[in-house]
Amino acid sequence: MASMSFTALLLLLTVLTGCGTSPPSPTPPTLPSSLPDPVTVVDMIPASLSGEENQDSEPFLSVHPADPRRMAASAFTPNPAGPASGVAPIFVSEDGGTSWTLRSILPSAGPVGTGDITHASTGGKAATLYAGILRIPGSSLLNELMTLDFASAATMSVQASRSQVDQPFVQAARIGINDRVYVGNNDFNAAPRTATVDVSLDAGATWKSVRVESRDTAGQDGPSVRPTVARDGTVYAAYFGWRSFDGRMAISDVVVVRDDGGATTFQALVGSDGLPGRVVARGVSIPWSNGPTLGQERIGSTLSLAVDPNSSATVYVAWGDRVGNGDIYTIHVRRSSDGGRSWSADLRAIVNATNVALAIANNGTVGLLYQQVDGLGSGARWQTRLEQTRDGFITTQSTILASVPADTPEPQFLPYIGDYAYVLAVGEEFRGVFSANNTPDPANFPQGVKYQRRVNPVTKTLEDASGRGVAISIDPFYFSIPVMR
Amino acid sequence: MSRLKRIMCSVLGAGLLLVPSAAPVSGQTTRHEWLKGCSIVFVGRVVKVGDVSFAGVPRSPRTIVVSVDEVLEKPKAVSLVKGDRVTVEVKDPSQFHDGALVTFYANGWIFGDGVAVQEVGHELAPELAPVSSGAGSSPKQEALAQARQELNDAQLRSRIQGADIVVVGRVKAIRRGGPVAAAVSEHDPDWQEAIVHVESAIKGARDGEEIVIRFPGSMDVGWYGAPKFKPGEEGTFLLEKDKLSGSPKAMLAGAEVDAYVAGSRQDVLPKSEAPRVRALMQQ
Repeated sequence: MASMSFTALLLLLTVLTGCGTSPPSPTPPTLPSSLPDPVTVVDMIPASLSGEENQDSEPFLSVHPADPRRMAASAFTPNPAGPASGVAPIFVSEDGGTSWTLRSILPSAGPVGTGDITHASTGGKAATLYAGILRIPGSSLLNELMTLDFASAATMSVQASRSQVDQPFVQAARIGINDRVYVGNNDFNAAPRTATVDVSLDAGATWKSVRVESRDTAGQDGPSVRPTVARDGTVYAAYFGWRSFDGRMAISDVVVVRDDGGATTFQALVGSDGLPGRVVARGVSIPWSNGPTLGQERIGSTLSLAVDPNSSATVYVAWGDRVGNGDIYTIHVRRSSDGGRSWSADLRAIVNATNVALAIANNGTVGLLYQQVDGLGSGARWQTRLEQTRDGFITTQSTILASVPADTPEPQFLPYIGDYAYVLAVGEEFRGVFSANNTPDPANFPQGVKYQRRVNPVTKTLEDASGRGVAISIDPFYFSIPVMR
Repeated sequence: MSRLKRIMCSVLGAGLLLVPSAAPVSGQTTRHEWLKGCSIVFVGRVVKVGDVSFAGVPRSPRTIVVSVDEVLEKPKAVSLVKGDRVTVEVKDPSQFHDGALVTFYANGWIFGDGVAVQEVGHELAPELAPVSSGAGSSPKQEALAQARQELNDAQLRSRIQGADIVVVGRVKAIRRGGPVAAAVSEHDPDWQEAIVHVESAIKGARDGEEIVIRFPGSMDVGWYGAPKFKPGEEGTFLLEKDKLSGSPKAMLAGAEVDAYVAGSRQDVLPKSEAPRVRALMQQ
């Protein structure tokens, strides 16, 4: 019944809006729910760490493709033994996200584990995990890591390493018989054209750093460089081509490059100036604020890219900038249906939001995750939402995963909740992670929530093993949402 | 080495590089070595060899289940109380039998519904010699606290020896200073300088002089844990010449002077710790 209602509404809207050519609606019509299964939200902190008060921000998630019950996740989570242990932890689930354990397998010794970290899983029987971390101690020290079993106790092995690199962003896929690994990064060694994708076509045995920026910059590009891999081996990468920078504002192009069939040149797309890379948006204003700015979070570089797994010509990009209409930060979503040669206008614009992440499911449904500050002052709340659409955001199905106070707790450091969150499509689900205030109040989680750590449901407070109160902090949350049919 | 590289390398690594090794205490060498390398100490009775205490822990001949009798030391975040069942991955399972009472020195391995640890060392519980029992703490806890204090003293003594200057002082002012990072990054340290009036010099400085302590003002996660200073702050400061920022000198009253850094929070002690520091320096 719900599915029929959705179809009828979709047809009606398509007629009324002229086949999707209308300007973006700030708030698209929300469809009645057609979700067949319950939404899952889980606080990932294990019961045996109920006393922790860390700021576990900037989460990331990997799902083992052959056995989706097995997942690895990360955040700025310290080893409970402290940095002297020399290893940093990841979260591991082996039951599809119902429960999570923490185990230390990353070679890093920071007070919050690693610096920036992302990862991706591939493999058949083995739960292979590739990770890119900024290792501590180190000088923005990129380590590209691998393990054949992320649930094992063995420390991940270092496949490649170099200093002066920022924001490694890992994507990987098995193409044919080999794992291909792509690590977007901002490599200061390549200044002034710093946007880079490290490519390995042989499971990390050898690496090549491909400089994807081809135009003049303001001395460097922006921090975020985001690759995405289609099933046919087509790879896209998006980056911020900074054209000028005054210390507080970057004037930037949003650029997409493409690589076909493992050529590792990323020159398949050419702009109107004859240079590699298509400019999706030219000269946008991106505020650079490395202090609490939006709900206690810093802003300056949020970017996401996703390709349709079954049609590599369809690709979506999303980024944050300042429009200048009173907004602090606005997320934009655009689409190409011809392999990145041409791009739509904004399909979606979301004010005062960040941590955008895109994924596309097998049936073509697009998932858009973001975190938005709703309200002002002490009443402001961080809302984490996943929107789903099958018609380019003419209509959406929006799910609020969390709505928590934006002014508590105080930041221990930045990023407060993360410079990114993450979502990916897994079969009939969108799975993802976000970080948020961990107050165990059901009102904060409209879809429900499961806490592993000890909570007092009467007082809506956290407790340690002895029943003593534990301060509210930022926790990583896992979620699963059925793909809209 | 580029400026940014020097900056990031030195400061991000400072917390570790300045952690010294402790001098062993006579008769307690082994325990001190274990304490240096462990974060969880507990007394427990072996329940079963070759088993695990919760799902998600891989069972092996080296895993044993232990019922906790007394927790002597653990990180605050870790939930571990008397009666809990813990999985211990031991080095040599032949040394354990069901029912044995053992003190384990261990590190966290897997945290889930329960705790799994990896053995650093162990001793039969009676070997942890009891000392006078104060109110609220057991003899074992007191003995461990004494050993930990001795270890802490040894580590502090080592840090004092490694410091270029040790002073008791008060922060007069904070100013921007130090090199500007070459690259624009969210990990920019945003160097600042604390002008400190030396009330009492313990090592390598003069009473009444002013010194410059350079520190990262950034809130970025890469600098989390680095000492930060505020005007009016008083303390006992263990300082090294600045090899972190890439610019070893600072300007003070029109003259070029050495800039100093505090490598970790352990190098910024309360003013009241000055007598302990002086005593350790003389040992």
